Amino acid sequence: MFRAVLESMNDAVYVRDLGRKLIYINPAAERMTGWSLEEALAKPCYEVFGDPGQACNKLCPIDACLASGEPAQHQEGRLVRRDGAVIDARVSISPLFDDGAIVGSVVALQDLSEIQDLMRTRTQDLERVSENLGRSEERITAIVENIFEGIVTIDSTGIIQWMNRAASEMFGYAAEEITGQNIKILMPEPFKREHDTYLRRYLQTGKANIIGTGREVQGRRRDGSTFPMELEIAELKLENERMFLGVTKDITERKVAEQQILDRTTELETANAELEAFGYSVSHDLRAPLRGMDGLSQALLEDYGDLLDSVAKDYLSRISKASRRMGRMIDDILKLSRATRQEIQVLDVDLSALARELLSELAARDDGRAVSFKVASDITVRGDPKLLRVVLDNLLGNAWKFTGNVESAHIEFGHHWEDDVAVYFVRDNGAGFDMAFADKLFGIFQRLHSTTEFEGTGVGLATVARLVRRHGGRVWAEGRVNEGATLYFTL
Amino acid sequence: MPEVTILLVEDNLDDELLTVRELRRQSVANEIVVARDGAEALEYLFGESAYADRDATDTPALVLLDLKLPKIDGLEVLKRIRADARTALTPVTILTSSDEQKDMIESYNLGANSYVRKPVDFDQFREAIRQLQLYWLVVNEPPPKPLA
Repeated sequence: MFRAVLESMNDAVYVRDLGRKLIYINPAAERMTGWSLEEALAKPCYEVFGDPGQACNKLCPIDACLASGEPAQHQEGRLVRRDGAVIDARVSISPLFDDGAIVGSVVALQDLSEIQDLMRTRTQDLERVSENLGRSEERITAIVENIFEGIVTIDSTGIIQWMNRAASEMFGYAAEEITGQNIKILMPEPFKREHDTYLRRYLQTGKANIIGTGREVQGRRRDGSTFPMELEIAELKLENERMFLGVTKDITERKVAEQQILDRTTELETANAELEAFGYSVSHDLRAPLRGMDGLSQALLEDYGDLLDSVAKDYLSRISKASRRMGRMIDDILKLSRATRQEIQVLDVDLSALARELLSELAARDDGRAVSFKVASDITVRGDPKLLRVVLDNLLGNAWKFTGNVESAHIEFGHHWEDDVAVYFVRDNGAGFDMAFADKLFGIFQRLHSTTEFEGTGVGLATVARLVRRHGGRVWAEGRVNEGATLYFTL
Repeated sequence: MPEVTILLVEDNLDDELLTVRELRRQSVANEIVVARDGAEALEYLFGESAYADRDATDTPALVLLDLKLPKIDGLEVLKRIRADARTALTPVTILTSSDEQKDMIESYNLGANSYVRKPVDFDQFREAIRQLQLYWLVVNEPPPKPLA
């Protein structure tokens, strides 16, 4: 049974007697040495398993093992095959006992060349990996050097270890001259003064001011000038060494832009406040003298009418009328300014219902007139209900007014589509206008009719235009003299 | 019964003239006292300075109060009127050119009894004065005088 085991083993095994004569070699040993069992049995062991280059006889480890009676494991050995090839082997030697006496030894040899092949492959693998590592390090270096953000690393005492090109350009230091300096050199006061404390406190307590969050601070260039920068700090541990990585971005341009926006906002707020104050004083102060003019003209007519001839009375009534007209204009400007100032609140607005409501109000106010209207149903839009009411009120009011001299007045509110955009319109068959003046319609105080023809202050359509624009829409008009007008708007 | 007064607080001389004229034309017989700034109005109401010999418990039947006034503005005058027990119940009508929402809200918050915007159109102005005097001097029951 032992023989069967020996014969099926991959390791070479031989047995020799005390006189170095081979007693047995297994098939693996035959393959390893190139000698057959028969050939080997006639030879001393060192001729089959020896290395002619080594002093096998003098320092034979097998003899040493036989002498001590102790097995020797995993010895390095080398043998020269029958064909001259050299094989490195791991050798294990055990003494062979017979009735308590050492009679020889069993030697097992493991061919190391396979393991060596394996190791060679592994070494090649490792070399490839390290080459790849080198390449990715190159890549990382390239990225880090060309990245827009500045990167600086410091050790736990604040000493700069390294900075990338962007940081070096940002601060005006060459990487070589900054290495070894304290990071404080890159900070203006008060950051400079406080940095040691920050760092110490963080290392002691772990209480971070900036680490892991990022904030806006001031950086100091080599020439002493400062600049705003965004700074983020990360803590790293490399080979047990605690260090900090700072990523900085010069935000001078952004700061300038922000300041400009801030300045502009302040300017606008001031302008708005002034406008509001102006509106207030218009409402208060400019109306009072007008009331005086109108009131005193009337008082003169009433109290001293019998002393005045008809021309004088006409003059007084003109003063009266003019002042009332100016009062209305002021009121309309105020309405316009309020409408443009008001915050837009976007809701669903049923324009059809609104148009019908406004038209019936107009009809109720002006009972004597028969005006037919057509209002398209179910026109619902998104917009500010109050402001859209002002828009429709002006447009329908205009239509009502300008059809005043027409026998069968007709007003229509509807909509159609133009390239996926809903276009709403108010159409009338009234006085119309000359298209040559179409662009004048929406200017403030611009009127295409005299006040004797049609009352008005010239603010209505200017208000409509502003409100439609505030809804992100457009407004325009089409018309012909005496053939009516159509006012279009989008939202 | 002593004749109750109307206190008109108005700094615009034309408005003053037209208001007083209109009240008289409409046969309002009450004495009309005119104060041309907020400070004078308070002095009259509380019997101070030039009005030291006036009995401050003898409150006006109606105060017509403009908002924009020299020295002390109308809202402040209203606040002090309401803060003083003698005038806390006195009817005060704001009569002003302003139709700013914040003025209206503030006036009502401070206890104005009504708020009338002075129209430019004299006919409307006249109508406003007519309704005002009719309501406050004729229709309305004035607050009872505190028993001395």
